[in-house]
Amino acid sequence: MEPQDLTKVVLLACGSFNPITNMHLRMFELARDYLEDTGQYIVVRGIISAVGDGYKKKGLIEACHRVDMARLATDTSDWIKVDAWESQQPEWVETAKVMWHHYKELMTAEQNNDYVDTAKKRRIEATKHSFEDPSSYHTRRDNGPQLKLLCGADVLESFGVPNLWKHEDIAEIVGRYGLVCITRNGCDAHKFIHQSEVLWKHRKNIHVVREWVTNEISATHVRRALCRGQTVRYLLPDPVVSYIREHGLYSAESEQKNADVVLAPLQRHTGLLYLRLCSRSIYLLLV
Amino acid sequence: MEKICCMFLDDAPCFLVDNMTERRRLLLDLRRVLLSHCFCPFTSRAIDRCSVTQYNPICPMSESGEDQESHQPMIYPISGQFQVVGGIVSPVSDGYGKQGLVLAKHRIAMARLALQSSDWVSVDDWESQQPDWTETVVTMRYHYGRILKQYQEGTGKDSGPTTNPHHLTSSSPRLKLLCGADFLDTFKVPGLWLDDHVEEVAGRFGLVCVSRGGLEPELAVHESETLSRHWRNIFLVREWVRNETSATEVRRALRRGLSVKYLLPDSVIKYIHQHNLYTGDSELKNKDVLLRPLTKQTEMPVKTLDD
Repeated sequence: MEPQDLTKVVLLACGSFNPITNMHLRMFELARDYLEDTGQYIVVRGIISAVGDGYKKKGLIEACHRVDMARLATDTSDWIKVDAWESQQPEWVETAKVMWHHYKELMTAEQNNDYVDTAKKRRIEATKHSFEDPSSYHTRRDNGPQLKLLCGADVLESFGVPNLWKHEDIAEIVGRYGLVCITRNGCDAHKFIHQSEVLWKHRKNIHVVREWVTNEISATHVRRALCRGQTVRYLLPDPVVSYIREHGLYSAESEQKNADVVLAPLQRHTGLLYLRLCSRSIYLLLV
Repeated sequence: MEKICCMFLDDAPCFLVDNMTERRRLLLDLRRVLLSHCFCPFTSRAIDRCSVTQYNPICPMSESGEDQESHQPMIYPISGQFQVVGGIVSPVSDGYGKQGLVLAKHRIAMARLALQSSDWVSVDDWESQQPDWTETVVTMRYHYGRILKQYQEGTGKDSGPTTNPHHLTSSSPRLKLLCGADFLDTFKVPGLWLDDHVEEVAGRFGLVCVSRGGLEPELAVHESETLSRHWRNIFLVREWVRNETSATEVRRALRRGLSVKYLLPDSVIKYIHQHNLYTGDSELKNKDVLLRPLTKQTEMPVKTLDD
């Protein structure tokens, strides 16, 4: 395929990044290789969007630190950037809304960059009014980059947790945008998609990327090691390790933050189920 | 308190060796594990019993056995016994004959780049400079002699002939072989190790073995007469964060033009691209060559130490 025929993709990763680890960074690299290997896509940008403090997850340290660490971690990358918009919002923002925010920004940037192709510009103008209606699933635009959510299998499976995601948000994420899911276990991911009506409907928009090298560097484990005074060298980029040490982040005390607080998505939806999301597993406690 | 200088044998960029199997470990992971789970360099640290069962290493302790469980005879808490004073990466020489082995000069250069920021692990090229492949015990003897000499010159002590372990004081440094769990299984491979050498590595020196995937190093120790006899000298480190980046996978990714960023240090990746290492051709090197240990040890086995 000619380069101009390739679909441009921007990968967006949302999460706590508490702290960012080499595993998060590897996800971007794996996703890019996978998409470009299909011969259909070119990945033009990666965006790390750290969740705001309003998420109220246990052990979540201040957003400013998490963003700074992510910036240090991506310093040596020429395509992965950190965006602080979500982290700066006073209240927790649903993932679908974060995607919508970035989608609008991409479209605006695309429009502003385009001086030559006036026909293309007219097409953009014609669809501009539909920016105000995120719930309409108009056909995918061919002239702008596609925004896809980059995540691990745990996020995919969290779609099945009651009251954590709004049904319409899931539909929008996989229908309008698309998902790139990095997983060790391709079978489980495909099975999960198969068993869900909404995911199955949009299965062509869900890319399951096998991670052949088992890499279980979870931020939870990193925080545990730090609380115990152990080294996390080579699990995180060196500048992040230094930053954590300099600022004295991650202690037994910081782990207790939000200990008795209900996670924001659950507060917002219903109060019947308490949930604590760990990076690789989900615990359900009935109230 | 015993001082330990851990040693890594190495035959691929920044990776630990295991003589026969294909798999490698990123040097980086094992050093991290060593620091976090087993020893704390330059300080001693007591690890309490609660944490031993959760994630701390399974380590033998020479004194009391009150924590001994019948099905896991080697679980003991470690209590500030050791101080790790150094780490050595020793890449194998080109004579090893392993398939896909790139030139030693490159492997040394890459290891040096990877270790630039480390304040306790260094690369030694003695083994890689030898004309033929060197047995593990020979390499260990060389390094041990060197370390002991440095220590003696530094402290002004003379603890007797360097080759006689019985003259060593408890404060002179020990040298231990650091390896992955799959390495222990190589002792069983016919023709790969001489019995006397296994005896020397486990008995005279000692092993620090890091768990890997689903492998059970305890079983390998249990099934070997020599290893189980020297259980006090064998430290099994459990790495709870499974990170199975292997050199084989990295080489595969490189051949296919895939990204290895965040698996290796940037400086090593740059070196690899600059020198165009790890291509389809490089992986075919030594394809039909028999691994050197299998031929050399039948020709002229290295003498044991009782001469």
